[in-house]
This record gives sequence, structure tokens and C-alpha cells, in this order.
Amino acid sequence: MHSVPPTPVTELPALEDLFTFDEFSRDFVEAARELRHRARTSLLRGPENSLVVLRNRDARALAANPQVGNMPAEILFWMATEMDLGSGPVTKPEPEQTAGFDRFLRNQVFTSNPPLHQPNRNILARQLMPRNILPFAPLAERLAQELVEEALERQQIDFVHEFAGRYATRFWAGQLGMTRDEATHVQALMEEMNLTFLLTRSPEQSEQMFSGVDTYMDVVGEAVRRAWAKGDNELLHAMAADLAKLDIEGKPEDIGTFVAANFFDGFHTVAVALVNVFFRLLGNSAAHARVRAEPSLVTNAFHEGTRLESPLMVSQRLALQDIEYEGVFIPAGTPVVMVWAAANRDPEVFTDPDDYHLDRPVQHGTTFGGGAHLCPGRNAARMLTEIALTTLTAPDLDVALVDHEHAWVPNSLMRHLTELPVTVRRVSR
Amino acid sequence: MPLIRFVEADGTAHTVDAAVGQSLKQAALDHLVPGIIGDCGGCASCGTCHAYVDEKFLPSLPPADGNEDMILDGVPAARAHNSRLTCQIPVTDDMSGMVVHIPDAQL
Repeated sequence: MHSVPPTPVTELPALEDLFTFDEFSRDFVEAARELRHRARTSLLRGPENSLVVLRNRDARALAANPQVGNMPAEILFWMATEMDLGSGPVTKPEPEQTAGFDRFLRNQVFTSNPPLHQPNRNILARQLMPRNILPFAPLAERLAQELVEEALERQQIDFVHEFAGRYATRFWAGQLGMTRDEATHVQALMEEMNLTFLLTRSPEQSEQMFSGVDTYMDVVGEAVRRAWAKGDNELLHAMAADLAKLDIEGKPEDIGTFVAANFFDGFHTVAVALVNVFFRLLGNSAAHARVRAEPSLVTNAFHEGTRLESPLMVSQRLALQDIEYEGVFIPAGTPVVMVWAAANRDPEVFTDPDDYHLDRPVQHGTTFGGGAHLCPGRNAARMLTEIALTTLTAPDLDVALVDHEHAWVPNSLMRHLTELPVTVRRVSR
Repeated sequence: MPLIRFVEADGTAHTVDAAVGQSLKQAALDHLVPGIIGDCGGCASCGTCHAYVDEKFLPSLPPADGNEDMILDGVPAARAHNSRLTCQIPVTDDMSGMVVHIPDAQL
């Protein structure tokens, strides 16, 4: 009996034969859904001979494979500054323009690999496990209530900027010893930070992005170093103590830089998750009514909302060694493109995958990645979203979508809305 | 194949034929035992496969490493001396009859 040699990634069906770049970048979720129909195989060859992973079981299996590591900072940096995705000539920026962006990437847990990765990740994971974030809840509850009161005065707000963005940045600023003014500054910077998720950028957008990231790293880094030096912030004290024990090449520079690089997802992506979950809930009146009547269903609303509108739709990994997976040979150095948005809507795993079902089991989602690289902040993201949802679905409050054309930002790896107008009013119970 | 008895927090029991070499977590998932989630896929990164393992079998199990210990410290259900992440326990022939109690919360 002869064994069948594995197929090299270079001989897999090419993504570009199934989709034009424009088609793919216009709406990632739509494209991922369409790919299910167009692609006869689960694994595809993407740009730069990368492996594109669509199906849930493949995404989960490869995410849990220790030979599939993080994409190192230097490659991500090259991709952001020099990679040509067919959108025109790329102008390489000057080093002084990109210093902050470089620090942002190099100090992220999501760019580290063994032996640094696990101890680095654990600095965050230890503090953000479900039991350890319980003391965070009162601040989140207070902020959600404060923002609802502000919304009631206005009667109509943009939920993206005037609730979710404020809530996430004020919350983490509070936990990290930053001032309210610093929180406001960080929230404003998120517009420029959003540019980091674009598939292609104009020279002007690149300039804005580098400038925004540089300012963000300075503002948060300096605020955190100041708060840590005061000595009374338990969260910072604990993370700094773990960081001091780390003696591995490439470790984060200091507590300020570590927090700035890694709590970006707290300031930014938690807000995106809240918007996406609430948008989906408000768009389904039956589900909304059920959650208002039964507050424990906010957990289901969180899982179903983030499954359908996963904030980060795609992330890049790297084969650290040669891998043979399901008959495909993946040489060391192959970029592995995890299309979480497709895996989250895989009909093999989710019945009626594009439909919103509050009663769906919470297993098998890929919103937060998987394996050793599973997002260490996912418990905090869920807690914050659930607290906000609980406040916003109180029986004496009526929040409703305003008739408006909702637009997902195109050409972005991040699924987010530019604005979400909602009305907010008190009602009798 | 060893018979493992998983008991949910409400007392509902599920006796499963576990394959030698697979993890206790995978045995539970393969037999659709409720209450074991296994978000991370078996890397001791999430804590959603936490369970209380039969005390009789504890001495023969591979000990929890520092990473598992850290994760167990933060799981939502109370940590006990027999708390383990089931993804870190490979099934062996001599585990037949083991009882594994599942906590009331994993998230």
C-alpha cells in the first residue's frame, strides 16, 4: 500500500482564483460566507504562499497546534510598512515615524513565541481569569449606569462613541490608575488606531496611523508608569512583579510599555465587541425582549453576538516548524491566515450559521482565537459586555435603533461600525 | 476501554468509554458530556475544562505544572485540592471506574 504524499501549500487552490482582492476586502463576513460556497476545499493558498484556514475544525486544530505560533513583530512591521497588496506603490516610512508602532508590535503578547510566549501571556492571563476579575465589576456597573444617565438626558446618542467607547476607555483607565482626561485622549486616539486593522492604507492613512500609535504608546505608557510608581495599584503591582521575574530575550520593555501594547484590546476591541453584540441584539426584537425579561441571557447574547460579528475577523499566525496537517504539507515559515469570521459561521458546527439564536450552545466559537494563543482578556471582555448589556436591557429602560443605514467599515480586519445611533428613554415597568 | 463516570453539578451522571491516550477533556467532549467546554483546545490556556477528580486516582495522575496551577487559581468555581484541568490528564487503562465531578460554572 502506498501512502499519498502530502500536498504542499503552494499546490492548494488559490484564494485569488476565487475572489478578487476588492471583493474580499469590501465585507469580510460576506466574503467568508461566499467562500464557503466557492471553495471546494477547506484550506486555500493565500498571498505570499500563506495557508488560508476557513473551517471551524481546521481553525481550532491549527490554533491548538504548538507548531503554529504567533506572527513575529518584525514580519507584521514589514507587512504594515512595505508589503504590496496591489493597492499601488508603497512608500517606506522613515524610522522616526514608525518608532512607536514598532514598540507597539514588539511588546505585544500576540507577537511573542516560545520560550517567551507563555510566561509573557501569563502576566495578563493570571490577572484576567474569571475569579480574579470579580473585583472589577463594581467600577463597570457604576460606569454603565453613569453612561445610561448621560444618554437619558440626551435621548439619542451614538452608541459607538458616546457609550461603548467611553465605557471601555473609562473602565480600563480606572483600573490602570489613569485620569479621566487621559481616558478621553485614549478614546480619541482609537480613530487612528483603527487604521492598524486596514488591509491597505493610503500614505495619509499610514502617516495618521503611525502618529496615532506613537501618541497612544506615550500617553498610556507614561500614565501607567506614573500610576505604578505611586505604589497603590494592585493590578499594576502584580503585573510588574511578574514582568520583573521574566528573564527571556525579547521580553517587554517595562510595565508602561507592556500595558500600553497589550491593553489596547481592552480600550478598543472591548468597545467594538459591545457595539456588535448590542447591535445584533437590538436588531432582533424577540431576542431583545427575552434578554430584558431574563437577564441571565446576556451571556448567550454575548456569545451569539460575537460569533456573528466577531470583532477581529482574521489573524495571522506562522508555522514555526514543518507541519503536516490533514494531508497538507506546511513548511516552516508559512504564514497561517485564520479566518475566524468564516470559522464562526461554519455550517458543519453551527446549525443555520448566519441566524441569530440565543439558545445556541456556547462552545466552538473562534472569536477569541484558540490554543495557547487564546485571548487572555476574553473573560474581562465578556464581563464588561455583560454588565453593560444588563444595564441597557433593564425593564425600565427602552433602547432602540434609530432608522439608519448601518455600515461596517470596509477594507478592515476589524468588524466595526462607524456609528450606531440609538434612542434611550425611561419606561414604566 | 476504561469507563469514566462524569457527574454534572446537578448530579446527572454520564458513564463514557474513554479511549486510552486521549485526554479526559476529549473523552467528555466526544461523548457530549455537558459542562466541559475546552475553549482553548487542550492547551491549559482557558480553564473551561476544570473538574474535581476522583481522590483515589489523584496519586497516580501526572502532577499539575505551574501553568495549570495558575489557571486553576482563577477558574470561576471554587478550587479544591482535587481540582484539575481535564485537558492535562491522559486516559490510561488503570483509570476505569474513575469519577469526575464537573463544577457548576466554567465561564
